[in-house]
Amino acid sequence: MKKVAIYGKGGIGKSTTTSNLSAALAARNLKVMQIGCDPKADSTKNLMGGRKIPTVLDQIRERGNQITLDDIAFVGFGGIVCVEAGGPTPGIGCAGRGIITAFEKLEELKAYERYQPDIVFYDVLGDVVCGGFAMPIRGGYADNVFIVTSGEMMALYAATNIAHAIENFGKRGYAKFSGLIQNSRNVENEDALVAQVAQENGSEVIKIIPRDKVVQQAEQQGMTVIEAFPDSDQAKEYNLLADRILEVIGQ
Amino acid sequence: MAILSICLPPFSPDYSGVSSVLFDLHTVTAMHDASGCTGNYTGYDEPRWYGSQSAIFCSGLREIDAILGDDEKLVKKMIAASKDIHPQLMAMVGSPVPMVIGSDLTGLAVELEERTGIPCLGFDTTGTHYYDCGVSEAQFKILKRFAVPMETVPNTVNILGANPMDFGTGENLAAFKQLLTDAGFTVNLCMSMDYTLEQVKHAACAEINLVVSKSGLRPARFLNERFGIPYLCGLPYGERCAQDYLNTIDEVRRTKVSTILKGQPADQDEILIIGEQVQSNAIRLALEQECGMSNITVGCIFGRDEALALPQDKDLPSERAIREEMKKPCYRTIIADPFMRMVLSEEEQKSFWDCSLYAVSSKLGKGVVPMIGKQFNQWISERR
Repeated sequence: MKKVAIYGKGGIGKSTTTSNLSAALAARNLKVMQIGCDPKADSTKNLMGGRKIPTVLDQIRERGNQITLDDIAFVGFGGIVCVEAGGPTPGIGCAGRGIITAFEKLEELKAYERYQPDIVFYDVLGDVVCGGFAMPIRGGYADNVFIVTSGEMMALYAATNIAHAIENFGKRGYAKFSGLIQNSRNVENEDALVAQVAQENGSEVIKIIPRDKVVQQAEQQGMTVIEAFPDSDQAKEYNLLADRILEVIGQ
Repeated sequence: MAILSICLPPFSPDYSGVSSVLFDLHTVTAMHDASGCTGNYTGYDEPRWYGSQSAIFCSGLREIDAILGDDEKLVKKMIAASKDIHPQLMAMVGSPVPMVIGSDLTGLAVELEERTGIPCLGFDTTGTHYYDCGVSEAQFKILKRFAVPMETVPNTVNILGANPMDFGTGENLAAFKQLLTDAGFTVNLCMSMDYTLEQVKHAACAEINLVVSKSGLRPARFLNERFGIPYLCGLPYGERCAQDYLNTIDEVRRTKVSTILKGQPADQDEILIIGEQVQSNAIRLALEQECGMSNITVGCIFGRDEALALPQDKDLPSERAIREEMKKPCYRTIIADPFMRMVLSEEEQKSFWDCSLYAVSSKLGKGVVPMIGKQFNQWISERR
């Protein structure tokens, strides 16, 4: 089982990229699990026909110790096991701690043992803002971390911050920073800007995903591009990304 | 509000369990807290503390350290302490604040070890679990780290799960060791009261591991998997039971089949023993064997481990659950820590036999009840 964390600034397209990646790998008969680590809890929506699934934290709140794996893990497109960590109501509580609690609950309920996925994706909110959001990087979780970015300044800034956090954890023998995924926004000189940031962080751009309106068209149907438009050029791009990810993580 | 404690104090937490295991070793241990948790451990959960030389410190966590996640400050303190004390081992133990801010003490320990070259263990304890989780985790991690393959030495045993929150000032452990010595055994390791890291390294020389509390089960299973050492889980309370216990040691050594002593299933509930599961099982077995009693239920207040339970045994996770169980008319006798008397109202007439547990009543309890071998028969004769 390989565990991969996908980080990036909020709104940059992490969930879209991760869901398409999961779908592309599932279409190759790999057993995939996708865990959304964002209080918005919409990481897996396009794998579930546009439906938002109940979150781990909501179910803990409602069911307490009676919670079972079937309450929090749902099978979506291509047999992908979908989980959303969830989080508190905006303005209260602690979202970072929420992710830790959700991860602990998945372990306690032996989620990985039961589903035995070939690959697990953690789709993690924005920047590394506190200890909780670093949870997927920690020992026992992700082996590799990829960061989704565009050529926009704030996205590149967030990418650099995340790369530094991973480097800081390096002494603890944790996840490896394995490259940037460019989710293009058609910013001027975008490829060069992203490549420069990758180089400054001792990494590389593993794939440039072009901008394509087919992504929004698929999302309007509550699907990934892989599911809605499997023969499209954009689906090919996501398949190429899947190839690159498998190559980098050595699967 | 269902878990509100009205009469009973909070029971000993996981960080105290970890610290009690580290107490005997030549360590630098930092409890990562503002001072309250360290005070709780040293003041209430550790009867050996005052007058000891144990190097367990409070990290002095402050608000700004928590906000900024200033791990480096803790690491620097640990490095400075290690230069003064030259420990064999360093450890960092979590508490509620590190839990909330997501401190990664396990990871930090890896970093600290790399910087100092001294073995270092991190424990992400939270203060929200009971001491047995901490004792279990600490014993497991220490054995996993230090125990090495060795030739078996005949008639050598290890004791696992010994800790002050179950055994107080250790009188029953001393009597237990004497019983073993008189029977011709050598105790290599008594983890974690009165032991050394050298003995941990030699743990694999034992023919059998003797598990004396719930917290000893995980390390025993680990040693069974790693080195093939079988275990016997139980305590020799009662004169006849002690002889049976020694016979069972021989059988487990011969067959290599690990055994857990629990007593007999009940047809109905008549006697309720509330406490730690292995000790309670030993009392049940002794009541059955020595006194001919039956229909005995164990009320598990630190979690019901299925492997240690009989069908009639109850999980009592809150004061309300304890009260409701104790109030049931079917129970004519209750054996429990004296603090549990407060849970019953005066009108509720039950025969109540005090059996102090340090994890419940600490130094305010009535002291350890001697129960090993015929000491149990003496205790019971005073009550019947």
